[in-house]
Amino acid sequence: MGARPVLLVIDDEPGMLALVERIVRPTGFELVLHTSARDALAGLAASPADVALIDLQMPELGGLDVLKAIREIQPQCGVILMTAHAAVDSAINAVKLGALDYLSKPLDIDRLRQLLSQAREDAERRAALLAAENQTAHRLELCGMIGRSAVMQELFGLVRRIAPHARTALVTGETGAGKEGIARAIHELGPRRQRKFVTINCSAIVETLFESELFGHMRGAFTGATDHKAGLFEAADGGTLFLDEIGELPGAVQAKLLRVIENGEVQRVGSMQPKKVDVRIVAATNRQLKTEADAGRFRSDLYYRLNVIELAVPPLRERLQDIPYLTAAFVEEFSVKFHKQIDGVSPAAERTLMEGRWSGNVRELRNVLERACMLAEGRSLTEREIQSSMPSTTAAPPRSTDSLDRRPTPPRSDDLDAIERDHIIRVLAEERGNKRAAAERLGLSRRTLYRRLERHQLVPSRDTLGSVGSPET
Amino acid sequence: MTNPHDIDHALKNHIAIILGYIEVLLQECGPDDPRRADFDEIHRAALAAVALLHPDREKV
Repeated sequence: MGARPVLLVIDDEPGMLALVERIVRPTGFELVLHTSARDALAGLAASPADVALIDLQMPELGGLDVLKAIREIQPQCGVILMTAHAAVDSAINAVKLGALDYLSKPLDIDRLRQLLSQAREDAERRAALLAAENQTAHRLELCGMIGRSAVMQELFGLVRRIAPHARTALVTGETGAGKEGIARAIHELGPRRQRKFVTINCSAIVETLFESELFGHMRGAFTGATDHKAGLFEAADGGTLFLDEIGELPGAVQAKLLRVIENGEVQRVGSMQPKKVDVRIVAATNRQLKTEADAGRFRSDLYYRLNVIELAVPPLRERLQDIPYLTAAFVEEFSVKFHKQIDGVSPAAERTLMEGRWSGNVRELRNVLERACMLAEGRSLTEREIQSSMPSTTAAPPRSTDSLDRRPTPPRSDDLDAIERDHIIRVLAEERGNKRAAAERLGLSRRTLYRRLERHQLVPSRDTLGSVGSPET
Repeated sequence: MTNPHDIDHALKNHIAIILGYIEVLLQECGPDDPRRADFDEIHRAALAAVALLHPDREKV
């Protein structure tokens, strides 16, 4: 809310507008006056009002319809109706539709002033409450991550305790739950915060280039190695190396990684000379690494080495009470980004968010709110804006049972890219974010799937040399 | 505008404006303001006019 509350007045009689202005001016409201209800509604989205005073009988659009429209466009706006023909029916109707009050003409000036000051107090109280909640939320944050729920508070506490000491840590959790945010927090709260935080996504690197990426290479070590190149371990020397999706690391590289962790030495491909590096390693995975290790798909010695401390990031569905706070933070972020004044979400929209499946967790919530903010017309996101921003996957379509035909369903539009994107989203959601299963169903290799995801901007595209990204994703 | 109901409504709106202004003026002028007696006259007449339009309209 701005410095002065805004009162919107709609009456087809200009003399009445002038009178209301005369009565209200001293109370400190900023007035927006309209003789046409249509014009007033058209302007409401761009310049929101805190209270509206509306004539019941107007030639083009009745006051009750205007009331309904305002409840839809801007639910926080209090509405007062006024009429020269007071009638019990319309009064009851108005109150049922959510009007604050119903005044008869001639206006009782004192009653009007009293109503307005009440509405003003309400608006201020809401704003203060919002500010207070924001402050509380700040205290419950960890390096930009919001977690008011007990599970997240426990996790934040663990991060704060281990960050100054741990040499290696393993962050586990579903896709989009915020594993990278936790990894960054470990870095930011540790003694290496001034040094580099380097990110590598193990599922995004071609298998044959792994060694060279991680450990570097000498000129001529292999075809195409035209120069000496430092690996990510050397780049992260003194800092933190974040190995995302560690479960995708090829077996041979797992062995070398283990050696680096144990000896603190790397050897560039093609070099005989080991080099000392001092790197803190944070690994993350959305797989059950213990199960992978037991099944022989992941080296168990490396698993135990990494798993000195395991930080399990809970999925969003286990921390539903964080949704309102995450929502508030994301709405604030995107209202700034899109230069819109959006204060929050309507109660119905919040309910929709609370009931979502969120298989893509916080990242999915963030994406939905980004889309909704992009679409938003009013000062608060409506249920409809939220719903149309949610992927169709909230209601999962039946899976194809024909194992031979896993190709996308026949296209309905000419935009092949859009069809591919939608199909990938659907399959991923049906597999609850499990990329391996999704890739298999799509007939793609995991890496190809990952590249498609990046191309369709379904994951934050990341540089292998990490820079500051958004928290929570 | 020939429907008596419509005329009624429009008239009431206009008198409401007169009444509103005069009430604001009355609130603003002090008890010793020389214009006060005149404002009181306008106020009385406007109230009488409203009462004439709908002597027994249900108040909500």
